[in-house]
Amino acid sequence: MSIELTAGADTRGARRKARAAVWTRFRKSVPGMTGLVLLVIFAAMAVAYPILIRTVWDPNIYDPETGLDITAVEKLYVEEVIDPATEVGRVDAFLADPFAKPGDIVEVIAPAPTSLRHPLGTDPWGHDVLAMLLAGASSAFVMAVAAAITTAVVSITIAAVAAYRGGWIDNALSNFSGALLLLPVPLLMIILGTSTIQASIGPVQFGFIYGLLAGAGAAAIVVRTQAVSTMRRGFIDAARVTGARGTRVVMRHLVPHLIPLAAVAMLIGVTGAIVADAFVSFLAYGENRFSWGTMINSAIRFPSLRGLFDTPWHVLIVGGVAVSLLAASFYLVAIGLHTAFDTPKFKR
Amino acid sequence: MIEYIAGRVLAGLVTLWLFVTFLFFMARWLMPVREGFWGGSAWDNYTSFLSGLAGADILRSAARGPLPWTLLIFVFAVGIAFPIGHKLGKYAGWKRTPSGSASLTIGAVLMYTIFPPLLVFGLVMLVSRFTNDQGIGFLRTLFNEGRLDSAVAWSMLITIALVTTAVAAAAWTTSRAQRRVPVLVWALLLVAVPFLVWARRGMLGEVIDILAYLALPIIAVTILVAGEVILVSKVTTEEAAKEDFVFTAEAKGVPDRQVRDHHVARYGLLPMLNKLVVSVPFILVGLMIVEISFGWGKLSGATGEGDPFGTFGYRVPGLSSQVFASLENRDPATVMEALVVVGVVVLVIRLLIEVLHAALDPRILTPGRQR
Repeated sequence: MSIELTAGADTRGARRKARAAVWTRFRKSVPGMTGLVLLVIFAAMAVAYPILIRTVWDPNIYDPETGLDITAVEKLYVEEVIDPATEVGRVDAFLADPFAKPGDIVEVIAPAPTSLRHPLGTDPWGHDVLAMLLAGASSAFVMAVAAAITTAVVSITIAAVAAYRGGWIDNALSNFSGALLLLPVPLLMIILGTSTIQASIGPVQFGFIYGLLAGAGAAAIVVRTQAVSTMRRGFIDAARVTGARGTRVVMRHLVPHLIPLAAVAMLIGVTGAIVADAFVSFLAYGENRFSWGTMINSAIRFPSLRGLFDTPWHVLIVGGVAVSLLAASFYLVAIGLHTAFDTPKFKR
Repeated sequence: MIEYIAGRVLAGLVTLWLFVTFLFFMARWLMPVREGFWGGSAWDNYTSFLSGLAGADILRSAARGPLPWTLLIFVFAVGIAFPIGHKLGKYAGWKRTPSGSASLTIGAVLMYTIFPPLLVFGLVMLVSRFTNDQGIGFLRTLFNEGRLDSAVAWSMLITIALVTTAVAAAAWTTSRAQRRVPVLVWALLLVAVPFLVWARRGMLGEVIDILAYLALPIIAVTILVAGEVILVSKVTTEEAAKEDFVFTAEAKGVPDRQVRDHHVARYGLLPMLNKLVVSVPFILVGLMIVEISFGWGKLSGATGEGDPFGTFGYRVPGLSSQVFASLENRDPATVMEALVVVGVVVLVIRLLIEVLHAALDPRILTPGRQR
């Protein structure tokens, strides 16, 4: 893969020019800009939740886990069981009040319809869906950023050390990365979700562990290839001849050439982290925090005798689409960056 | 060639050992267990774990149980997704695709990143609407009649492998003899011959039952894999379009379509194989998440209590059922066994791709002259 900033851009002006050129090319990439717009929307959602819950929204109503809106109540008349259709209503009534007799009127919490108070309605337990969506965005975003930074730092470090030192160190690190590649990281995160340290894995820790494993595995392999080919180039030798020490060669001359590729690898890695995070909470393994997976879980668990068709689909779809779109937005930005860093052949 | 394969196998074994060691220490210190599960020191546990692996009993029991189903879904999904994805990726990556290349790319990303449970629930609802049934429990009859026999699944897999090898050999020989046979003929042979073989051996009914039972997970995984293949094929097409011979062909006035299909897309196949090696574990984990989403409710659900088939009245008897069941039972030994099987599967698939790559690209076998 040949991705790099313009070679030899060593003066400040030249570097600024190269950066401007990257942005110009990025702007032309439709997938990249789509991803960027989505990402900005999600970031706004993630910031909006903590502000709204502290100012406008009453936590008693809008908290995604403990909030409850009592206006969303349906009155149900308990009848004598005559046919299966009323039996269903009776079971619903029984869930609300176990001592209900035929003839009583029982209050059952029902999903509120869309209104100004609840723009996306509520789920069957009276939680506001929009609040859940925004709260999930905060936790997912924090996780994604932690995963991104860790992936980039770990993959660049491993790749730079492997390429600079070469020899047995390179061999050992490559083998280690190859071994991690055998392990599907999302699966490992699911297993960690049941582990003894499960209670202490919040969004940040989740992102950090994911980034550590993904960065040392798949991302390090991709970046290392670039690092090895960069080490063979003339300017590295030139730097050495002028007496630059090892750290200077690595930090000033090698690492800047790895950053574009590492950025792409990191954004693609984040995609997996988001899906894994949602899946862990979907399985209700990471019970100590709220996320979009929790929404989907609660929707599909909704107990009803009317079967699947009674599932609160709006909750499930909002949560599922949010997970998919956030993951997609990171991937789309990665594609845009890839196009932007990729210099056309005859301009090199 | 043999030296190369031996070298790769040896490197693979080293990788496997590192992987197993990593798994062991993770399980030893992080996974919750029943009182007195481990006993003895960590070193004793480690050596007994390794010697247990060396006996390969794990692989044997997996082969009798969950492994063939996961492999069947994998083979069918990749077999369907690869040709389609390669073709679409070619359009998405080609610089002069008139329009729709951006939307194709965005569509591929959405296919790849869609939350698997959402995809699964969507498919289940779709099928339920069509059959006027609550869920997809009707498929259970195929399973309960004992038709889902892992021996049949293995013979399906072996037939597919043999037919693929034979067709590939035939295609290679004819191309050596400068006889042009349309790709479509080979594709047709690849699809038709296995079914003829199964009909001849009198197991067509069972095969169709199995395919009907596994159709939904195969569709779901195909969608995920196709997204991935389109994206990889797009990147390799873009890379290949920069080669000098493409410039030469264009300068000579070769028609645009011919440059794309004959010069660029074919050349891009090799790096594509290389890139898909990295994707294999992620495809497998997507597959396992799809499997477990179909059996939802069996795990932690209040709804699926007592019903081994979960909320939808359906389950996939694949590797993930073993992993998740043993996670629920606090049984790290079985979890590790299943993960080792996953690792071995990834390793074998990777080895196959590497050998294929070496067979197609002689540059790999001449050390020191690589690009």
